[in-house]
Amino acid sequence: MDTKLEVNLAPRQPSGLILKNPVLTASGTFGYGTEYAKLVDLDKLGGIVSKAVTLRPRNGNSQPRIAETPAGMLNAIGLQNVGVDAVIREKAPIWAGWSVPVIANVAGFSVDEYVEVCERLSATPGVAAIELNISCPNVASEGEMFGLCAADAALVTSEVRRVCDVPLIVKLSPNVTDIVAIARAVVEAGADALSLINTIPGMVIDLKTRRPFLANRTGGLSGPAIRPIAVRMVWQVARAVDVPLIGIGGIATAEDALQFLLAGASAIEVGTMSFVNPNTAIEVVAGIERFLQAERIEDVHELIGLAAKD
Amino acid sequence: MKQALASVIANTRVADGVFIIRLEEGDQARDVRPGQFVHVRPGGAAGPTFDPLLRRPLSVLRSGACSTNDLPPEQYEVLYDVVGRGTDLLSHLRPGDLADILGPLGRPFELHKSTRHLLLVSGGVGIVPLVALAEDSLRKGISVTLLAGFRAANKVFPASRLPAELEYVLATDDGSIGHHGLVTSLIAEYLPWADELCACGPAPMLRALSSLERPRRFPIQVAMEERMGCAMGVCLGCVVPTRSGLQRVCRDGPVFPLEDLRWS
Repeated sequence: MDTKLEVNLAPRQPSGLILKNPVLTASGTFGYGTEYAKLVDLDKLGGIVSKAVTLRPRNGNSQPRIAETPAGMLNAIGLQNVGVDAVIREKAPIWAGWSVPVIANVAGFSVDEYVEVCERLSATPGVAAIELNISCPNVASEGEMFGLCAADAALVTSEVRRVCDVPLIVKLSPNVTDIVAIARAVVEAGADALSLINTIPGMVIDLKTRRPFLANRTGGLSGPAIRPIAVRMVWQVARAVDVPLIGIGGIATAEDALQFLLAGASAIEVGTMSFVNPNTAIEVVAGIERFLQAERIEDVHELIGLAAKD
Repeated sequence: MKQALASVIANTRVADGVFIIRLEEGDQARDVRPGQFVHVRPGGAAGPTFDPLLRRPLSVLRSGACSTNDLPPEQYEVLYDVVGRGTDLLSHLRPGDLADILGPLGRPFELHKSTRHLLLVSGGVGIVPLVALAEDSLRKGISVTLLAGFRAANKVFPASRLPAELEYVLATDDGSIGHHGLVTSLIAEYLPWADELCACGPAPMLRALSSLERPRRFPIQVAMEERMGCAMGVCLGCVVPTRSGLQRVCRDGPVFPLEDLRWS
């Protein structure tokens, strides 16, 4: 039996954002895609989300930047990246030659910065869509603040929407009291899709130095440890908005991914687990296909959101 | 470089808390060069675990394919010190178990063509990539001296596992064997003999090398040890400051020319 895995993450756009399967790699965990090209068959992925791009190159935070935690890790990289000029010059031409769509993740420190970077990337061949990162917890500035307040999140989304000719995905922060209110505001402001969740701030303290272990003191928690929180938030948002959702949070297996689809996600991103097993995303695709066949389900859409219905 | 399940051939304690694991995976054994490492997923006989989650970067000690040693060509060895739960899990692997290994990774040592006398300096388990380099260099007819520092006699890498032609000089922090004190204090005596120096160990030891009095343009390469996430150049967890900006120890290193490094 043939199963249909194709999903469209931007049904409101004339050209849509068609992925051949609902599995992407999450920002910051798959570089610019090129790093894994020798090890992973990129053509089998539904999509790749790039490392966050900022207007200017950034060095990020001091060492130590990562700490292992139970079934997870903290990171405080601080948005180290080559900057939008280098991405357009060096990375996008490579993406343009790939069949797998690459979604550029964009971070910023002011509305103007977000707008400038998105406008330029949206006009760049090789950039299939933009994922707006209004939720990075590891910069000592207002980068995350946009994701913490519905009005700010809506403002940056609507300003970017005006200059963005490709599908626009907004990535939500879990560090809020009511993620549904922010999701609604961002959809109202023109987001084609939402991705959630970004990392959750955490801390590890070094018993020898008696100080926080990370140079940044706090870091974003990711990995299987956060998965139930992410599933819950996808489920809540799915009941409130009618745009496609992309579920993110500790996905290690097809069973994990299927939980997100049932909760209401049309697609998922594999993050931290790519560090542990670079082929996690490919294995998730194969596992979803096997599940659909075993359950005699012809189209993955038959599963999406089943658990979010009353 | 590949991700593969390697068979455990042996897993032997060689010093206090220090083990050598011998693995069989022909491509990895063939491809590895001195200074490179493999990224090992913690797990037991039952398979991998989520806690601890991340792989452990371990330098390759010897490969049967690259050197004239007693290893079959499809086997290689890595050494690890049991410092936490990940390495403790590794120490329980038995012959016949499978280990999920990514590698070989990183930039290897590259000696100058004219080098005839090679001086190696290690601290602790930093000896591992230098053993690989020593074996490879001796095979090419280069004379090699290895100055190796350890905390104490119970942590010393056994001389019986080193090539006989290698001159092996020990230093310990507590003086329980060899020179009493820092291994770096031995360097001055051997430096006039050497054409090139390669080192691996904790950052303070490598940093001390930058203040070493030496002839202009005397080549020094160091292999850095840093906490790693992905080891593929993606997570940016292991960057170090260099003359040309931040570089990733996992992909741009672990071997760097000493003069390229900037110490914060």
